[in-house]
Amino acid sequence: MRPPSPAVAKGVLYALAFAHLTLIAAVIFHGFDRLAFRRGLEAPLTLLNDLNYSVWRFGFFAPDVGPSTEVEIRVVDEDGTVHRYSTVEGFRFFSSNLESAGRFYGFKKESSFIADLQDLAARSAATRLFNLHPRAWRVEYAMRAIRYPTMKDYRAGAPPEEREFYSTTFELR
Amino acid sequence: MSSIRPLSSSARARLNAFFEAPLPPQPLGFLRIAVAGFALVQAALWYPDWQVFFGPDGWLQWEVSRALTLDWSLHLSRIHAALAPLGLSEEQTVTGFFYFYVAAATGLLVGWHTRIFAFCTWVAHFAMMTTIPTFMYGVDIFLHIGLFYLLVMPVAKAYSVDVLQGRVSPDPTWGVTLSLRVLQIHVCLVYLSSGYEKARSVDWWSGNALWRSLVQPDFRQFDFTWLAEWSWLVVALSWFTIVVEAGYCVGMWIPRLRIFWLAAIVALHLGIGICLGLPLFGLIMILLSLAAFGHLALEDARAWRRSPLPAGRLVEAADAT
Repeated sequence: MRPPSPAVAKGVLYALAFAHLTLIAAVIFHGFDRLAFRRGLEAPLTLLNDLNYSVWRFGFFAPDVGPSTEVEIRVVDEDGTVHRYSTVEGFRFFSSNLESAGRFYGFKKESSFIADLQDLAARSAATRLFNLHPRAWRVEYAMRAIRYPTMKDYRAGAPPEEREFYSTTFELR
Repeated sequence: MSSIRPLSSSARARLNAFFEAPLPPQPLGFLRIAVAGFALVQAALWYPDWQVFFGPDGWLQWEVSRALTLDWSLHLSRIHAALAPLGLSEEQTVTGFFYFYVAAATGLLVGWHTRIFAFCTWVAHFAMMTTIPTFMYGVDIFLHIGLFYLLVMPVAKAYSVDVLQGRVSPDPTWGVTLSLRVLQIHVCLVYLSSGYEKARSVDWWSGNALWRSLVQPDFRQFDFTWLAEWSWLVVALSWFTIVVEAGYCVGMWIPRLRIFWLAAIVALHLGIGICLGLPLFGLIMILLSLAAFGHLALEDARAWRRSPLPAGRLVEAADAT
């Protein structure tokens, strides 16, 4: 098979570039919102996203930051000793640096609104903690949403709103 | 009904020149070094926690993370299974994968057999993204976009071993121009999207979205609750963010504004990096803007230095002596 002529190859590349940018623009301006949920489109769109994230919207904390998702874990040893880890109090999942610690934002955030992920994430974290604490027999895992009031309400004395939305317990038997 | 008039010949000529007139490849060389260098810095920071994130018994065990990905995704457990004849343990596979990624990014950084190493780096990063999807955030998405562009764009044409060894020509081509325009337009669309989404939000106009991102525990690095008493400052910073992001796609194309807009976007990302504890995210956004528009801002600055002094200032100088 003969390779395409330079003019044809150039035309194809310009067309691909145009299609790529058009897709990005269509997605960010909500032109794909309905299509994305059509049956049969999820896999090809995921594939395209895995290639180059052209099917992605870049909000950067918009429209709002939402509530902060915080995790509290209590590990109970056989002798009754309790190890308490709370992200509100600075627990960073034993990570070595700020960059690694920041990665738990997605872990916490996604498991706050994807119900299927909550059990999986909790089970996974509990398994990790059982491995780190060989004498532990029980792990309690809870997630809380913390939302600060508006600046005006905060000045008026309104406290941050705190709500536990998930908790579970794992025991070794 | 009036018919759509075709573009005038001068507009068409300008459009052709914009997308086709061969440009020098140095900005693409900078893009390659910036993105590959960034990948190496990120990998170095990740190294102490590598097994904890990617290992089979990390915070997200392979059984769990595999359940979160599609069947055909390149999960590390599948790479381990493919390497089974070598007799490696799961941990050895994960460590070996780290060195493969670092070696590929290093080859890409120096531009040696660039296309091959760009492919290896991109594939490795793809595997990372699919192995721990819940731990990925904006920085990884932009790195992946950057690596995809290094894979398909002629990024070896400047500052590369491939040029030194004569494998790649450093001459300007339409391919360089097309690549640069795609990168520039993509970055403009990213900021337009971000500015547009913020501009649709009441919480951004009132400053409360920025206030919450600073004080809520998720990203809190310092105690900024005192800002509630200085709400005008938060509102001003919010509006500054909206204007800088939404106006990026205009400001970056106006020579007299470009350098200031670039400085504003750098300041914005430095602020995000320091105040929200996202230094790498800030860094990659700055690098992408510099790769797309840095060379133009540099040309603007040089043109200003070359331009003659206004007559009024010359008279003042003469009077002073």
